[in-house]
Amino acid sequence: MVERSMNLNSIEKKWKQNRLNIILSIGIVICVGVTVWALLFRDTQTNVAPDYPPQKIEAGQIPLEDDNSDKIDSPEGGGAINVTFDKEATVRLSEEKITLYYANPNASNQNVAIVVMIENVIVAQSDLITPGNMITELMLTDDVISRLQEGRYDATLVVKAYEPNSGEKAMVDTECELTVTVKW
Amino acid sequence: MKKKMMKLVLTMVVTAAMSMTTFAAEGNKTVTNEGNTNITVVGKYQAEGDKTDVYSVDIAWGAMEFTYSEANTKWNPEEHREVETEKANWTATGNAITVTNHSNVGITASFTFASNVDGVKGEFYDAAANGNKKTTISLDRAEEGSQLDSREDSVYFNITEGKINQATNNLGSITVSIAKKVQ
Repeated sequence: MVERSMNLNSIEKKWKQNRLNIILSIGIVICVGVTVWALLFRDTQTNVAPDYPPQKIEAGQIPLEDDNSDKIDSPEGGGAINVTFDKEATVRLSEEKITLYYANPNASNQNVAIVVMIENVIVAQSDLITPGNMITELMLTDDVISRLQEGRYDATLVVKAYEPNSGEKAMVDTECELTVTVKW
Repeated sequence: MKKKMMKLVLTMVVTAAMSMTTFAAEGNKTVTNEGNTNITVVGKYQAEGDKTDVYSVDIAWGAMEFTYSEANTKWNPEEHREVETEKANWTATGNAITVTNHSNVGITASFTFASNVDGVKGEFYDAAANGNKKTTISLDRAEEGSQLDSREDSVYFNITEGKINQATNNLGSITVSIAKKVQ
């Protein structure tokens, strides 16, 4: 009886030993696998942000009809834009749009992007408007609808110029007064 | 007697009526008893309504390159110290900003500089070098047939303070603020 009990204890010890070995083996295999992956397959290159990220051309730009304007003279290495716009703009909250008139005629030698701001809140912004084109409406930015109430606002139209070949932003920005009427 | 008086009064009334003007139904047409027709010509005046201000402004700028040169020194063997022979300075290439007004309103253009480098400051002048400070220009509205250059003016930007230790593409940005000119 005693001998049988000793045999059972011995079998139980061996089973525990084997179970420990199996667990350790699995752990070692996992560690080796992770090491091999880290050494051979992991992407170690860091992402490099471009100085001049590619920018989209404004999808809503419309060619200016009868725009035969000559290029503005600009000193070598510099740039020139013509800023043409109506002072009045209208926000339609129900349509989530702002209607306005901004033109970047052929006279400009820069692409431009415009931003409409009310008290430092960006109401709408365009992608690049290339020379010889205009825009008449822009979609409102995501969270601005809940922040605007019906009425008239003194706003700011910001015009940023970009060199067409390099995409480099010009040192000179332009800000203009704009009156925005917000309607439902 | 009464009959004579009545006849006299009636005669006077009829005679007077013969010279009276007859007003036709048409409000602006008058027909006299001589058969002439006078037509009244009505002139109405409506004040000019609010026109939308249309802005059209050319803005041209130069290369806007600014070079910082450290001071030059020379060893003075008698005083046993470096003596400054040339002061540190900034030089500009293409520092003009020219504004031309084609709008249907007069405009002002104001200029500000926002530096991206600690300590670096800049000012706007009326001449490329050694001019007087000038931060605003005022241009009248475009007039039909007028020469474009009569509504054109320039300012010149120079770095006036601070230094850099290495080249940078981002010294700061200039903002041209366009506003309607107050008459």
